[in-house]
Amino acid sequence: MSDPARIRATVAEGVTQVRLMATHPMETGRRRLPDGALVAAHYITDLTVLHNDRVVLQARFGPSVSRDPYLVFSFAGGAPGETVSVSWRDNRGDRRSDSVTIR
Amino acid sequence: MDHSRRAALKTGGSAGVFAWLAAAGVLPVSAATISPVFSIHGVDAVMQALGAAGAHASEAIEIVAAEIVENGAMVSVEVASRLPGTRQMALLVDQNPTTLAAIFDLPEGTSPRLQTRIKMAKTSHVIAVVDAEGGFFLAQREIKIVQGGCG
Repeated sequence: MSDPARIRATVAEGVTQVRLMATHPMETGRRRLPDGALVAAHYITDLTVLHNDRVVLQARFGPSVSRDPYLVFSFAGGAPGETVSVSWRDNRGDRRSDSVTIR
Repeated sequence: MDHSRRAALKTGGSAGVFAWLAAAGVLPVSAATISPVFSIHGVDAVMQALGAAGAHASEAIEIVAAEIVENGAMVSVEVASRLPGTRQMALLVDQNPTTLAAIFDLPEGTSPRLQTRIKMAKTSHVIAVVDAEGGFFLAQREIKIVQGGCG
């Protein structure tokens, strides 16, 4: 089981800024261990950010996104107490969803 | 722009890859939605697959990044578009084994400015491809990498 994403959502002047860091190794499938063995590809392929039930960002990743994918973006609207949630799925079919309250 | 063709390419392509991978037993069923554009190598081929072939350079797209980065495993890149109707931004790295790093779909109300971190195997051009009201546009910026970070 993966660790939770770290998410912060703050609203100012009608715009909500989201900063998130998903916890994921993002292995490209090209890295080798000291004994020469390849580490299997393991990376997030889809990540969706919702404000309440509305999609505010839909991302598709390849293995070139860094370990523990980090995103900062903003959307119009949002109010303190409302929810921002981050869901992802990786190339192995694992999923995770985390949410925070907008401050 | 030819959006219907692109949509057809996406769905048709992923269905094909899905069938192939599932048949080969490589991936569990739930993981089979990986967009095939990520396996395409080379900037021109990826642009074509995105439906963005022939995109023009635009000064309304800004890529904010350091000129020289020590560690290619974590390169901070910010893309901002002032093009009206920006609905999608894609990030490409011309010298990476996987050319396409990420695609971001921006629904109405989401600001066309986004910061993320990518891996870079070596000194490369980072290319931001933006799908906006008037079609596809791009901007590029060279980032020098001291130590490559693609494993």
